[in-house]
Amino acid sequence: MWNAVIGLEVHARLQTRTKIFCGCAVSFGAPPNTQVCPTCLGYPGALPVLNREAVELAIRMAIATGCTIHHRSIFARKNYFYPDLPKGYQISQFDEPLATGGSVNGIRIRRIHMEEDAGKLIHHGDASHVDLNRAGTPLIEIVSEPDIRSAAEADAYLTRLRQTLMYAGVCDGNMEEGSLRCDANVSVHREGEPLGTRTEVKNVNSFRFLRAAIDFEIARQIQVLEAGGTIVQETRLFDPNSGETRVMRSKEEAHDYRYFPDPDLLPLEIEEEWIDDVRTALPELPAARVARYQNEHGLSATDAEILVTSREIAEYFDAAAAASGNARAAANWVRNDVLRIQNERGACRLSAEGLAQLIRLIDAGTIGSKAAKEIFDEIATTGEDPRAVVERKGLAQVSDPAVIREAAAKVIERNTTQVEQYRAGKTQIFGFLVGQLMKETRGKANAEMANAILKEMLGG
Amino acid sequence: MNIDREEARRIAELARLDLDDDALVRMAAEMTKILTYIDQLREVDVEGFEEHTAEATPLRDDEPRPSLDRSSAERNAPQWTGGFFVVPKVIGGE
Repeated sequence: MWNAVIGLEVHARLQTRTKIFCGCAVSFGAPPNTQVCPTCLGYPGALPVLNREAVELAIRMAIATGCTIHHRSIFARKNYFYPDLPKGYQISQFDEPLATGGSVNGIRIRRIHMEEDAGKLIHHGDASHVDLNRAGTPLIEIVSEPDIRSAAEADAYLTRLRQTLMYAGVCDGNMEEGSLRCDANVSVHREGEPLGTRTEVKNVNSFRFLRAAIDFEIARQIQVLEAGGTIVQETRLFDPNSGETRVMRSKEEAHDYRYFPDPDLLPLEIEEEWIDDVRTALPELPAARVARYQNEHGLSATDAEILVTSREIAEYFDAAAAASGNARAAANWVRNDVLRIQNERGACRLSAEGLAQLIRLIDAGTIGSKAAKEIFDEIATTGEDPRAVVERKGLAQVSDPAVIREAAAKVIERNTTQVEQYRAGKTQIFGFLVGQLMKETRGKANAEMANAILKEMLGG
Repeated sequence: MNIDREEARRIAELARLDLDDDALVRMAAEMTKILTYIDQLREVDVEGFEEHTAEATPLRDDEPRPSLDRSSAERNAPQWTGGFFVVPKVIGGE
């Protein structure tokens, strides 16, 4: 019996307007080397000045993950030579990070630290082209403890982490554009035996790749060990095309970063008051919402998870639930219909208030569920008030017993054979008669009432 | 603290400096001298002196400032094409 031990290192790009240590704008897709200055190009003598907003966003995430924020943290130089890094070092935090000791989805967070991103390399023949627009973009690195046991758990952790980053407005969560990047540390060991040697898998930048890379790496390590081999500590790269991981560098080639405190930056000091202010301004986070939806509205964990997928959907649901006074109905409409429309048509134009209006029409007996679906499909595109559609199309259902009775009498009169069969005990004919009644009322009879009245009049 | 030639070689490699044996011997001696001086500073009795705590790093508002125009960046680039710095092909890194 093999056990896997997994830890994730996640880099999240902070949603600031400017870089972490200079005033260059940060925007994806700008022409190469148009967002650079002496500081982020590493010109001699240029000095870094820390972006307050970057610190604030990092504090936000630290609070959102229950970390302890250190009143004093230190920026350090991580030295290595690579042309995506013009200074020859990356400014990061090493032995005194911003925050330590939180948790997400039951997985402990070891630390959150701030650092700058590197530039981008594009390889062309025997040359590499360097774009330094991204160099100096603010990042936080969120390092988990090795508490994860499977690809599915890693997926769930990263899902919640990403949601939390997005809810808190810390990071846009866009993995395709590299706003959120993930490396996985993976090891395996036999049940009851000490932990195995770990490998680090880089470049797992989508949920699908993360699961594939972890599954591949676990299987590979088990295979090596069962064949009597040993796992060597190394950095591996996930190749999305083959679905495999391959060696990028061994432990012997591992970098010796020679970290030391950056003499250009004094300690980062964060007052308790600042932390309190950030805490107060935080929105309700996905984990808290899931719990509230279950406790307050009696929703299932699955439904609650679907509703918190994004902050927009969760807030839409909250508004519709509050305005309609029927959270369960709101949950069903949002998870089944609003999300379906969003998928099919790109957007749902119906406001939460409009949806609440629709739910109230159903709850008041004004329209039946079939008419409601019809109305919804229309106003999901037009954004129209459901009451106006009911009026315009004459979709209001008939709930006047006298009117239904009159129609039922006609049906009974016209279908003597069937009525006789029913009275003789062939009860399945009832459906036919109800159908006739609905036809008589052009589908508008309140279905529940139609059933009851017809049954009564048939003497059943 | 003593830096021998091997340690000097390792540090030179980390700094991507190509030093011959003579230079390594000289560097090892100089680094040893610097570190010995630091060790000497450590011996000073500072009992009773208050530690000077560093001030906090200043913080900047998140306001964009103009970047360099590209021709200035290009002027300082050893090689440049189509808005990119050009370097010998490198694979690996971080």
